[in-house]
Amino acid sequence: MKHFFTNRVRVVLVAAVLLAAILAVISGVTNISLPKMFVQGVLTPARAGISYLTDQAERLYGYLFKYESLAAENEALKQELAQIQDAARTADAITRENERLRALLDLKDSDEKYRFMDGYIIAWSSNDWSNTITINRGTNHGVEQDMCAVTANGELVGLVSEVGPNYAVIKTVLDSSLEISATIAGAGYNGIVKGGYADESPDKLRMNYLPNTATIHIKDQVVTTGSTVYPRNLILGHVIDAGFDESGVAKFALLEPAADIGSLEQVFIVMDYNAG
Amino acid sequence: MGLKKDFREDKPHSGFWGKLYLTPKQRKGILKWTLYGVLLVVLSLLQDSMLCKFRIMDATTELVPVGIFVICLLEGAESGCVFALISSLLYLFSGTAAGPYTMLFITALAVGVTIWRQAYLQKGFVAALLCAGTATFALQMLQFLTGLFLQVTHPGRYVGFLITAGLSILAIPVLYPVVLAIETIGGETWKE
Repeated sequence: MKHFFTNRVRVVLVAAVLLAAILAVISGVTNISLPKMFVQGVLTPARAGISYLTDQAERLYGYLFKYESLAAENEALKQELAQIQDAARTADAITRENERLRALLDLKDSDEKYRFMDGYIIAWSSNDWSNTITINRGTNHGVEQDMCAVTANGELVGLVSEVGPNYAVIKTVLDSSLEISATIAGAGYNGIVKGGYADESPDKLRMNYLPNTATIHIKDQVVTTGSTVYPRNLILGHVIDAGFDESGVAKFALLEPAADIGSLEQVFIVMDYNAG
Repeated sequence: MGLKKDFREDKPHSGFWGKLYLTPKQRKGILKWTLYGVLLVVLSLLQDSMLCKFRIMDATTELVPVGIFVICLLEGAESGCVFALISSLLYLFSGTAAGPYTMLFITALAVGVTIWRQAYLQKGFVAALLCAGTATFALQMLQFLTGLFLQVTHPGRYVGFLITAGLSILAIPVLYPVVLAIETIGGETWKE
């Protein structure tokens, strides 16, 4: 067996060790990698093509084999839409009243204006401890690192962790390395939401550091509190379970994410976000 | 009566390939390694844009390392090791690999199983399946242990890594004939 272990093989193995060490140091110091940007930039158009074909095939499959369930879902969505339209009309009335009252009290409007850049998902992560998606928008379209991504309904998808000329990698809310300050809407309890991808619940979120006197209800909605990175009132999810954490000092809540990451085709990057 | 010409006259102008003075065997070698690269790119695209959407217990396949293992097995340690190093490096740069240690694991495992196969097993599909399958399983376990060490995963997630290994091993019977067909270009198969 030793005679198969030639000089070339030894050199290659030593080179692999050295390259791994050098690349690990580089990735620890900086997130920018020119070779990575080049390779991903070259692959992006092909990924977009394959992703488009896959989506078309899924749609065709759904049309051919899931017509009845789609029709039933359509009916349910129509009813939900009617309810939402009623709620929107009520909200309009409340907004007008709010404006009148603000004018009476001479209060200034909070100035949160931002625009969106749409992007289609062309690749998903395949390793078992990070949950990321890649979209077909990059620096050429004005996307920058640490911009947040949402769905069309204002549900938070994640944060741009890496960006190239024609692609951006978004770390989703399910990734355990993201921590987002959030609040339970209505109740007002603040906490930190973290993804459970590296933990026991890979498809759930966990809200930690809730006050131990907090009264948490199932289906309570959780939204972002707002920061320099995330606009406020972006929907994170709703509560499905709660309890005391391991220390017994604070409470935690388990959340069902609002954005269905696995089924997303398109996301919107929040551009020019001004929290001031 | 005209004499039959014994020799073909030189072409008045030679193209790009002609100026490189490559032998036919060298040209076939370039074609072969290019096709290997194209195969890995296709596997990467299928993995990232199609197969990732289909998950079992949140685990999916990892096809590119399997392709590298099968290619290295058929090409032998001498030439396969360089290919394994370069292709695993490009796999890392494609954004799919977990980290730089994945490149090291893929290269070391590809070389290790190839040398072991050359030393102890006969050539054939069963040997390729056994060796590439072992390397795939070992890769997932090494990545899992590294993830535990780096605290980016949870001990309970080992099932996901096992599922990834199992699903990836299912691709070997499909990849083997493709790699074997490419490997016949320009030379004998199953290099020792």
